[in-house]
Amino acid sequence: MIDSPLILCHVRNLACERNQRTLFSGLSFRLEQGQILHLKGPNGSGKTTLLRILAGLFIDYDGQIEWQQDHHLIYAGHQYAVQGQLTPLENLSFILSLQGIAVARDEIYRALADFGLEDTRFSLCRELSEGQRKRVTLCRLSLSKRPIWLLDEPYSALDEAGAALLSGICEQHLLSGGGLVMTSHQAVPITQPIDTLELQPCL
Amino acid sequence: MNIRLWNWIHKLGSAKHFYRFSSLILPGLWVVSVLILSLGLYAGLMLAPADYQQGDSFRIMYIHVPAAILSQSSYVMMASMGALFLIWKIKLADVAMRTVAPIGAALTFVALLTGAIWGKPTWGTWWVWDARLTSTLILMFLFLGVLAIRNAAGNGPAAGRMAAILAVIGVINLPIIKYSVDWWFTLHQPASFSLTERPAMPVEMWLPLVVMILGFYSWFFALWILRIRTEVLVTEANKDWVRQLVNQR
Amino acid sequence: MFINVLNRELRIAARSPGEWLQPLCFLLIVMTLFPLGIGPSPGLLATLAPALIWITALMAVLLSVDRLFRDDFEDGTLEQLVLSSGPVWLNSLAKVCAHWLFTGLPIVCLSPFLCIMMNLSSQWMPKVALSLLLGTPILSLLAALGGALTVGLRQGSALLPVIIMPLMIPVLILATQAIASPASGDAYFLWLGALLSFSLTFLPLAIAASLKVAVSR
Repeated sequence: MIDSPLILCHVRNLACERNQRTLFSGLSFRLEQGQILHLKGPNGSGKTTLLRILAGLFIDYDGQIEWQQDHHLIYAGHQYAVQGQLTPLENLSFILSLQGIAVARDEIYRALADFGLEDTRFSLCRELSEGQRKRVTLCRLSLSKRPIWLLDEPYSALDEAGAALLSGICEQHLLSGGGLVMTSHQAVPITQPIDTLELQPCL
Repeated sequence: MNIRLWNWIHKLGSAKHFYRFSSLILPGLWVVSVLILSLGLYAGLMLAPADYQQGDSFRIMYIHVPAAILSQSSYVMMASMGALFLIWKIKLADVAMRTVAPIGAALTFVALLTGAIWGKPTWGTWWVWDARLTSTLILMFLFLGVLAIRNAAGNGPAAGRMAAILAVIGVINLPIIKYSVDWWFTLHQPASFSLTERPAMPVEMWLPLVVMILGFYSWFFALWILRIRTEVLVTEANKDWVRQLVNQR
Repeated sequence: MFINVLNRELRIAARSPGEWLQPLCFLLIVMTLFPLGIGPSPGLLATLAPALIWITALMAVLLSVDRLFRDDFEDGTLEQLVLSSGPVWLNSLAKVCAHWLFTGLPIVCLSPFLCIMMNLSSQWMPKVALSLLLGTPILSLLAALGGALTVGLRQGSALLPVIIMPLMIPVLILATQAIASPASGDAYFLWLGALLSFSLTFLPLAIAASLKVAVSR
């Protein structure tokens, strides 16, 4: 537990309409250091939209979102952002460079090994299985030095070992003062305090 | 006084106030436009003298020229609405933009059609690649592009933004296109060939033209306002003020 | 960061040569169709050559631009490009640069052969090449704008030419006139250059705006 945690993000009165349907309105919450915010709800309740609003990808909403600092988030959505014609090393160093993070090659290789991908060093990503490509995305999470992670269904396509690795890096991230927002259908297997935000579809 | 005017214009951006305001002026606008158009048509078809070169066939000019002028202005208006939507996120601007696009495209088509009809008795062919007609044809494609993007992208705000970006780029390109087409035409056709470059017209001929242009403009605005009103009722259908309005009827 | 994006694009293009060779093959095939359709008389072909070369180049650029953003859109890289800490317009410019290096530049290099195919004597080759050198980047930029606008749409690739071709008309007019006019036609090349700098200034911003919209759907 972190004493007097910093508030990383403050959301006030968020409202959003899509296809003439109100997804949510009057939503207010805070994300603190060391906290997981778990977005729960049935399909179509707006979890992914809320996540994308926080990421800054979706801009048709009302309300205020205050961040504690700039250039602070990393977003991992349904798609893995892994280009088939490149090796994992090339993919990772590119995506990290987009966020202004320069990582040494050895560090990337070490991260790949941590995630069980050391054999794939010289293969093109299109030759990897879906689970392996997902693990490449997880490498990206562990290598980035940003405080806030926004994850959309991170546990999908992962086997038991992969899920354990994911929980491991999430816990490490939270303990070092980061915040985490994730959507997930199942319960979140992380041993840290979890705040749940349940979204119901409005009729 | 300035602040009040500004506030009033700002209020117009809200769908509800626009609807109320337009309810007041729309009937009058229809009447005015019908009157002006009738006057212009009568003057142009009956009162203006026949042209010494083209006889009576030049009278199609009274429809062709206003349609062509209006097609260009409506593109510029459409792009301005698009810019308003992109920069200030005024939702009514998006509605305005998507309602004016078909009107503008139809006007451009009318300009092209009447241009062809004018060409047949005058030059013997249905189509001639002069600068004005060619630019109008390109304008038609620009309109079709915006309509096509709207059609493919649906009705959401993202679709509005895409169409707005295309319209704004198109409007910036418009002077470039016109300039290059004019220049292309003069390079290839040194003799004065254009349908629309005419010797000075007597008053009885161009006065009805001015009247027709005014009439077209007022009819255009009346139609546009009507379409915005309808579209606003559809998009704000779940708001209270719309329900009240419907219940009153 | 510009270098990084450029690097990545070049690497991907180098590893899938079929993708960028295809529009060039299309170019050569269509240029073969013209004499077959028009007739082999050298005089006629030479007169029509600048326009035919340019129109075919235009179509080849339009054909090749769909893959510019679509692959990235589908695998999620486009989102990351939009979320990047550097300016999105710079990233877009890097992508268009890479696209031109594998589409426009080969066309410029092929232009002497195209001139020969069209019976255009070698004195015209520098002019043709220069007009293509200045004009194809503008075409790439415009086509990229079309690509960015249509990337999320269902029938985007069919829609792209409809949207972008009217905007390409000034380039076509300027370039063909620059080739066909006598020695005093250098002014037209200057105009083409001016159009290029104008496009370089404004179009990347428009492309960036379109990408942000595409990603938000």
